[in-house]
Amino acid sequence: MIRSVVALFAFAVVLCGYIVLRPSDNGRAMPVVSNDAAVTRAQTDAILAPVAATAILTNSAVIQAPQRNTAPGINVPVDNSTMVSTAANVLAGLGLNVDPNPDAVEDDPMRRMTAGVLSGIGAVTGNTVTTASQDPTPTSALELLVVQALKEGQNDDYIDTLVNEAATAGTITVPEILVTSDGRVDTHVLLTSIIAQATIAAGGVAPTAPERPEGVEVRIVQRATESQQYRFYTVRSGDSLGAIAMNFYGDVGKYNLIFAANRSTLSSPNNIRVGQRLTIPDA
Amino acid sequence: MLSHKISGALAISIGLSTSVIAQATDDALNVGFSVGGVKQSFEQSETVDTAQVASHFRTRTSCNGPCLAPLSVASNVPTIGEREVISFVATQVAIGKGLLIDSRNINDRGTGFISTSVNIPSALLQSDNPFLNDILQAMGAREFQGALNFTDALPLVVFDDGPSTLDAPDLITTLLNLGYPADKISYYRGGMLVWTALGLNTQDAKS
Repeated sequence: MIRSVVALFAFAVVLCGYIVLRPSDNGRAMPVVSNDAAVTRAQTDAILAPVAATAILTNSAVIQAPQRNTAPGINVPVDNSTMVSTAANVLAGLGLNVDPNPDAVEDDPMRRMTAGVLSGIGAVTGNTVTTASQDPTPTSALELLVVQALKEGQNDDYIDTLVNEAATAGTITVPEILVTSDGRVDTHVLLTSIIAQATIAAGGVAPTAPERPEGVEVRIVQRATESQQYRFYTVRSGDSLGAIAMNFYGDVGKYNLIFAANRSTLSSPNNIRVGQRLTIPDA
Repeated sequence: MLSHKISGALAISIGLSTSVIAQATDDALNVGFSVGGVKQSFEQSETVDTAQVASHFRTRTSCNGPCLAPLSVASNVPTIGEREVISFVATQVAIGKGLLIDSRNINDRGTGFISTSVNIPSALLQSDNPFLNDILQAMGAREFQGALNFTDALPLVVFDDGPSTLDAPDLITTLLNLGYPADKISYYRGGMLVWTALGLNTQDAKS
């Protein structure tokens, strides 16, 4: 009898111990996962060291992290800023002063001519004047918002939500090519551009265009003496012109090629629509 | 051949220290000055390079009507001549307190320009230039609470190829629309055509 009572008591103790100490898949585990995800971007300490910031920005987890959100969107307020300057300004805000991308400056005649004018005025007045491209600093509300979020170590989903809420509230404006076909801000493209510039500034290799871009439609027209290849892309939900340029050229800065080739149907870079068939010229 | 002699005390030399040293000659113009440590001068030749003059005469298919510049671009914007341009450069541009603006496009400027001038085609002052404010601020405008204040904007003299072109009137109109004060702008209507026809020296694009 006593042995039975002792055995039952021991069983009860073991059972209670199991209930209390068993491995759990309930809500307690979630914050740990969430916290792990939240440190994939630059930490505040790292901001003080540009090289360290670069390393954090360019780790593989971060590069794979941005996922495009295709939730229903809003009318995004746009401005005339470029992705190159926006990304450079964000990096400057993180303590990584990248030199202006010479290729981008060469590609942008307005920027190049403006730099010439400022240089000429500076030679006469004795004041050194630079464009944002020559002296990057975060100035726009979007840049300041992203810099702050990255300094806090926020993850990409958080930044995407933050940016889109700010755009909904009208407190930020964004480059035209960040506006998606469903009226959201494509933070995926912005964050990837920042990473690309940080990679290049750190001496890394610039991203290249994929050999077989996703969603490409190729038509070959055979003529008497030659055959001509044409590429098309049908806009999907969540696409932005910047994302399409990255998909085909590996460089958001080349969105102008697509825009110029589709001016007859594309009124502005922020006006692409789902189902729209775009001609994709060769780079 | 055209020749022109300006007598009297137009010959002025100005250094960056703002001290003025006048050197008068009886029959020739020779105005020396220094900008950014570089000595320059305006001189008037006894002869005129007619080919150079002709290179500044052009009619533009882009003109809306005949390419004849108005005598006055806008009220409160004075139209000035060569003496006023030379005086402006020697007294204001030389000390960084004024800008002589060449409003032609970069190709036209390649035919030669007035020394110390800064090339600002009107295409750069359009709203589609994301760096428009950078240029205006370099010209002395100050940004305050998102708006530009032109109180400290530099005085300007704007020129182009001459009376047969409208680059300068277009640029002046653009500046006025942007809020640049009319009383800080002067229009040199003679432009490169009259400047070279008077035998005044120019600077080569390669120099």
